[in-house]
Amino acid sequence: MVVGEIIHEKDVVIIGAGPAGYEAALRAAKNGRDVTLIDRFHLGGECLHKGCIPSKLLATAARKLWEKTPGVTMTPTFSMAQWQEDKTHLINRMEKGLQDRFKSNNIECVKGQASFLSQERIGVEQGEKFEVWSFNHAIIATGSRPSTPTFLTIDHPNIVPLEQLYTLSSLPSHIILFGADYLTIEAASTFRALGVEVTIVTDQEDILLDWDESIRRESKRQFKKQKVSLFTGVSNCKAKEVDLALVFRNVRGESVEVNTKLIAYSIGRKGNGESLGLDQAGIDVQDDWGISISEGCETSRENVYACGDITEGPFSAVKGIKQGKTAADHCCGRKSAYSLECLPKVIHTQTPMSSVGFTEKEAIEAGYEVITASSSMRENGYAMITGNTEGKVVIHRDRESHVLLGFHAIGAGAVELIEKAALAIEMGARDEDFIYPYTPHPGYGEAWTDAVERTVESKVKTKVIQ
Amino acid sequence: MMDVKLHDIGEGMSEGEIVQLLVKPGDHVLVDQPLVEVQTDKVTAELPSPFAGKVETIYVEAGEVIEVGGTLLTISPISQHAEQTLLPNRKKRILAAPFTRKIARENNVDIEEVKGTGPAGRITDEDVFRHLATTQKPEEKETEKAIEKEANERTIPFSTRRKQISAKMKKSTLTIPHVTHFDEVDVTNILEMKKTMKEKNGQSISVAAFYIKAVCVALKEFPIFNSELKEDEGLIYLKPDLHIGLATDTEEGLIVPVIHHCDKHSIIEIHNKMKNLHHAAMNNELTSKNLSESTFTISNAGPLGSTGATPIINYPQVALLAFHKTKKMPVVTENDEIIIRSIMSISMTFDHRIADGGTSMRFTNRFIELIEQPSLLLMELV
Repeated sequence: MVVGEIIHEKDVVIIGAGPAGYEAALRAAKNGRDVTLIDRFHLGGECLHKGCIPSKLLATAARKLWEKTPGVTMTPTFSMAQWQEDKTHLINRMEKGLQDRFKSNNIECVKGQASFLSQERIGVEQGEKFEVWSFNHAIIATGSRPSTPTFLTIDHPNIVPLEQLYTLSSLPSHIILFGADYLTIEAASTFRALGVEVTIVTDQEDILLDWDESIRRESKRQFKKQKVSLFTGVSNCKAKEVDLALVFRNVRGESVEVNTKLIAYSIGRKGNGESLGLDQAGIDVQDDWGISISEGCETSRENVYACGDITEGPFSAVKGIKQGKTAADHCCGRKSAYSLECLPKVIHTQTPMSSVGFTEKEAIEAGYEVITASSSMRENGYAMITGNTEGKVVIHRDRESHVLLGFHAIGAGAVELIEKAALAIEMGARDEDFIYPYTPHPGYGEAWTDAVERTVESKVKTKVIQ
Repeated sequence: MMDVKLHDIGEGMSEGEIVQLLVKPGDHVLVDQPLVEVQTDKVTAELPSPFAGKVETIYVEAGEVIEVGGTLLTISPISQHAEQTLLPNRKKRILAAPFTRKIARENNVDIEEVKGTGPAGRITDEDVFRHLATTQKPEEKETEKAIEKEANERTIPFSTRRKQISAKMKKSTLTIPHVTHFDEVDVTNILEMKKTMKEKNGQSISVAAFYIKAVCVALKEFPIFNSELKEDEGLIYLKPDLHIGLATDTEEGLIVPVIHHCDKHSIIEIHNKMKNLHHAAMNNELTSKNLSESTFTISNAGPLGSTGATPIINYPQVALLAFHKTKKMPVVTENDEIIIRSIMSISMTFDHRIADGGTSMRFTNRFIELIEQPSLLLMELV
C-alpha cells in the first residue's frame, strides 16, 4: 500500500460556488450525497458579488427615485456612497444565508484554487497549503469573466468591464457603454435614471439582436426619449487616454469623437477554464465558451459534469441554476435534463423587458405560419394606476395549431409575468389555454391576456333563423 | 498525449531516485496503476497513473535522480466517452408537457420518435407508453428497473484505501490456495506474568507483544512460513529478515503497518513499536516505509471479538496468524480436576502450495508451547 499525500475522500466535489455550483451542492446534499464545494473567492460567485445582485439593487434604487404615488409628495435623493454601504450589507447578509444553508446541509466549503490532477482527483491550492480531494463525481461550475475588446486592452482606471460600474463610489457625469447585450442596456437605463449622461456604442448592427424586433424597436424609442445616445454599426474604435474619449467611425463612415468620464464595456464573456487542468481529467474544451455538455450536463468524462457559464449557450444565472440542479440530480442517477429552448430572458431596465420562446423571425424560419398580436400598456388599467404606461406585450402563435410560440414584453410586470408565459410554452399551450384561466383585475397580466385574445380571429358566424 | 511528472509525494521532497520502472512503452495502464517506484530520502513510493491510457515514451531509467516537476513518461489517454450526446438541435418545438418529457427520459425514449396523438399533435403520457410497449425489448425493461433500484440506493465512495484492499485481497485469493486451521492456547500464565509485571514493576505491556515475540521464535524454527514463492523461477525464497505486519482496523479500512527486524527486538521494544504504529495508523500518519516489506502478518482480532476466522494471506506472504478472543473456560487437568483457565483461540492460514497441514500445526504447536510455558521464551534470549 502506498500512502502519499493525505487525500480527502469525497463523494461529490463541486468547483465554483456561484449560483450553478451552490445549487448543485444543495441538490446533491439533498440527494444524500457527501459534498465538498470549492471556490477561490466568495460564496455566491459573480452573481451575488458583482453581477445580478448589485445591478438589480441599483436598478431598484433608480426606479424608486422616480416613483410617483398619488397623494404622496416627497423629493427623494440618491447617494452612491450610501448605496455602496447598503449594497455591502445586503451582499454580506445573503452570503451569510448561503453559509447557513451549506452548514445545515453538511456541505464542506473549501476556499482555494482547484485543478484536476487526474480523472478522480482534484488538487486545491490554499495559500501555502496544497491538498487533494478524490471524488466519485465532480461538477465544474467555475463561471465566466468579461471579455475585453482589443482596442480597450489599455490599463486605464476609467476603462473598465461593465460590472465595475456597480463598484463606483460616486456617479460620473457621463459614461460610454461599449456593447449591445442585456447588461449594456440595463446599465444604460439605470445610470440614465440616476442622472448620468449615457452613450451606447456598438460595432454590432443593432442592440439586443437576439430579441424580437418589436421589443428592440420599443426599447430604442424609449432610449431616444430619455436622451440616451446610441451608435450602432461603428468601426475603427479607439480610446483616447488623455481627456478620455472614444473615437470611431459611425455607420455612415463619418468620424465621431465622444468625450466621457468612464468607458465600460460588455461584449460577451469567456469561461473560467484555463487553470482547471481540464486536460488532466481528459475533458474536451472548446475555444470560447468552455465545455460542451449533454442535456444531463455530462462532459466528455463519465464522472465529470459541468454547468453554468462555463458551458455553451447564453451567459445567465437562470441557465446556471437549472443546470446545477440537473447535474446534481443526474450524477445521483436521476434522468434529469435541461434545454435552452424556452430559456426566459429578462432585463431589469427601468421599463423592464422579458421574452420567452421564438421571436417572430425564428418562428418563421422554423416553418410556422405566424400570427402576431400586441397590447399596449397604455390600455392597461393597472398600469395607469401605478403610472407605468410605457411599453407593450407582443405574442406570436401558430395559425394552424393555435400553439403559442413566443411572448415578448417591455413594460411593468414583464419580469414577473414571464413565468406564466414560460409555463404556457413549456406545456405546449394553445391560445384558449391561456385565455380561459382568470386574470386578476386590475393587473398587468390583463395586457398579456388581451394580446393573446387578439391573435384569435374574430369570425362571428351568424345563423339565420327561419 | 499527456506528461506524467514527478510530483511531491507529500514529504516536502525536491528530488527522487527512480528505483524501478513498473511499465514499459506500449503498456496499457489503468487509473491508479503504479507506473514507477521512486525513492526519496524518506520514503519509497509507487507513483500511480493519473489516467487510463497507453504508455508512449519513458524518459527516465532506474537509478536516475529526477527533480520534482520533471517529466517521467507520456501516456496517450483513452477517451472514456467516445460519443458524447450533445444537446439536440431542433428547429420546431416538441409539443409535450415537461412531465411527459420526463417520463420519456426515464424510459430512455427519444421523444422525437414518439408520434403525438393529443391536441395539436401534442405527445401525451399514453403516447410515450405506447411507443415504449411497441419498441422496447423485455430484457431492457429489467435492466432499467435494476438501474432505477440502484439509483435509489444510497451510495458511499469506494475509497482509494478500499480499492487497494480490494486489489490485494483479490490477488491473494485468486493466487493462493488458502488453508486455515484453528487451535486453542492457554494464555493464563502470560496474563499472570503481565499482571505481576504491572504490579511489581509498574510496567504495562500488551499481551500481544508476548505473542509476537513467540511468533518470531517459532518462525525462526519454521522459516518456510517466512518465505515467498516465485513460481516462474521455481524457487521459494526463505527471507533472511523477519518483518512482522500488524493488521490494523482503522476508520478508513484495513492497513498493515510493519515492525521491521522484529526478531531483534525485546518484548518491551515490540510493545513500544506496536503502540507507535497503532497511533500513527489511527491518525493517518503512516509513511510508506511503515507499510512496506512485511514478511509475515499477524491479525490481533482478540480485542474486537470472534472465536475463529479464515483470514486472507497478505500476498505474497505465505501465512497469517490471527489471535481471537480470550475467554475464561473450564479445563480438565491431567489429574481430572476442573479448573478455570484463560483460553484464546487462534486461526492459522497458510499457502498450501508451499506448506502442508502438518508443518503448519507443528508451527502453531511451538507457538502454543512458548505461550503456555513463558519460561521457554527465556531460552530464546540473545
